[in-house]
Amino acid sequence: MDGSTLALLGFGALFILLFIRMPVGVAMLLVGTAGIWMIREQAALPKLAGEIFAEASNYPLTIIPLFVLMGNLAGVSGMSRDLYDAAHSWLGHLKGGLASATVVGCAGFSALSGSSLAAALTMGRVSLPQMQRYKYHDGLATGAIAAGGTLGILIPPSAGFVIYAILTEESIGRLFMAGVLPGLLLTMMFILAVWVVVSLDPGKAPGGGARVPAGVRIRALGRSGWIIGIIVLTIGGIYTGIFSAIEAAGIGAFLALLVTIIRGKASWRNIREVTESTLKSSGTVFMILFGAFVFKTFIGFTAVTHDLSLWVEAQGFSGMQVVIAFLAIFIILGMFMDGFAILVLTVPFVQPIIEPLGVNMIWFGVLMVIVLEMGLISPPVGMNVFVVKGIAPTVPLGVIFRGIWPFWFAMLAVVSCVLMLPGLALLLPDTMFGR
Amino acid sequence: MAERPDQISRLDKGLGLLAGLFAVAGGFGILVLLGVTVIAVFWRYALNAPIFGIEDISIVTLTVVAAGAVSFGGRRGAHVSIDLIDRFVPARVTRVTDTVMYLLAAAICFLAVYALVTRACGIEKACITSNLAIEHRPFFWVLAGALMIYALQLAVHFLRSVTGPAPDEAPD
Repeated sequence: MDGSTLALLGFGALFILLFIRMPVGVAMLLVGTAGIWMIREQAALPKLAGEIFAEASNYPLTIIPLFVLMGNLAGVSGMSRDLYDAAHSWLGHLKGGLASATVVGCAGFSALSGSSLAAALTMGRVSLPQMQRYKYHDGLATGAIAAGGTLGILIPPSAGFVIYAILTEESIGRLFMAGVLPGLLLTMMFILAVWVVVSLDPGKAPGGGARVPAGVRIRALGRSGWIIGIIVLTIGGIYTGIFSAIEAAGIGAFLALLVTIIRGKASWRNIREVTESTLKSSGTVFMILFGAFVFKTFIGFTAVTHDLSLWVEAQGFSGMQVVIAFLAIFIILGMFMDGFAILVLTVPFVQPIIEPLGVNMIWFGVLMVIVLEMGLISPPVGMNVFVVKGIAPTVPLGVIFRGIWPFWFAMLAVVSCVLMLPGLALLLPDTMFGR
Repeated sequence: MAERPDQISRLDKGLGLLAGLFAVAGGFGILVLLGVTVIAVFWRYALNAPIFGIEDISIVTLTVVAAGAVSFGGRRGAHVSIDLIDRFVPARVTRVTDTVMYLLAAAICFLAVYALVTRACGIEKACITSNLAIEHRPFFWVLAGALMIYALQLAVHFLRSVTGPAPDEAPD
């Protein structure tokens, strides 16, 4: 059997296993090992053991538990609430201001946590009662939380970027920096989406309360100084080259722990909750990576990517055309599959095809992550939507999905902007690291 | 046969305990990772004296964290799967597919354990960290232990799926 046929069969088997609910990492381990065994029998077990150990001891992955820890500590120490309170006091009186404050709160929390689900859950718990109190439309309120949460994997630190960097052997620091401007642009687009929704139907955000006095606003900003300080130190540290991304993760988590202790929140219960949550999130990533690298080895052995890249070259497609085609595929896959699963399944295939066409892999990484974010809020299996549903059990899923559309189109607009203006993603990393 | 569910429950409880021990090791590992990173930064930037080999400590600690995270994540159902099938097929079918899935998943995890134990360190001389020459082999075994717990957890799910009561099909 030739390599391409074997790869095709491997993908078929993988999709069947995923369909019957096999965990993504385990399914990739199974198909990858079986595939390697069929091509080079004696390599199967050494590769299985070697790839698992290689990922478990992959130094750059230190970043995952440390940044997850930092985000979890921000939640229990009350720093995330401070951030929302500050955004609320500054924006709450504006048209749709509470929804905009939610988006800003999510963006801020995302700069401390690499997880979209954590951002949606943490900010949703704080902001939803406020929006319900002021009679915001359920669709707008839940849509803002679900969409705002997606900023978690775009604004650094981002677990999505770390996995992408490991898979493509790109620099984590460069990818983190590449996510900053698109992340800010997306935040602004979400606020614009709120404004448009409320302008078209003011009944969706009947009021957000009176303007808060300047003194109260400044005090609220002061209370969020800890979280803002940690964000500035970690992201600023990476940008100025003072810290590597791994060092920034360590310092950020250490400072978050200090704040937790200073605020008297380091109870046994909280520490246990934070540790368990950090282990669970890290375990998810490690298991996926174990499987991804065994599967990637199998794909490499089949040489199917070489055949595909030759085919693409023969058709005369440009890099941009191929990138757009892949993004369209990711959007469709995002409706049915988890973002990390798409990432680890497709990157080993996509990279060998687009890299020879001159596509910048940092730029593509940013585009891919935004598109995966779209998947997080796309029906029928948008993960963030189900997180929000957990916080707002009385709001029907259909209402949440309808509320999400304006934000989904905002994301599409940002994808278009980054496609047309690669500098949006590449300006910061190029300024910092050189081209 | 009637005693089997109790035996499964006992096995499950034992696995919970073991996964908890791995979680404690993983939690402690996270603390060490944090401390090592902060110390490395402080020594490098404040004292201008980088500590030789500190990256090796991080690497082996990360292995323990990964092991704890994978076994604990497996115990708590944190490993990502795609939950679409129950939209298309009735519960009696998903019971069969779940049984097959658990069997295959447990099998590959057991195979990974076997590979980690028997194929650790393919090239003997490359089986140490680059600076402090810490041997890799024990950390292969730690990972094997973590995956063994996960494999057994999957086996428990498989047994429950085989021996458990038939799903209530009325809602279908």
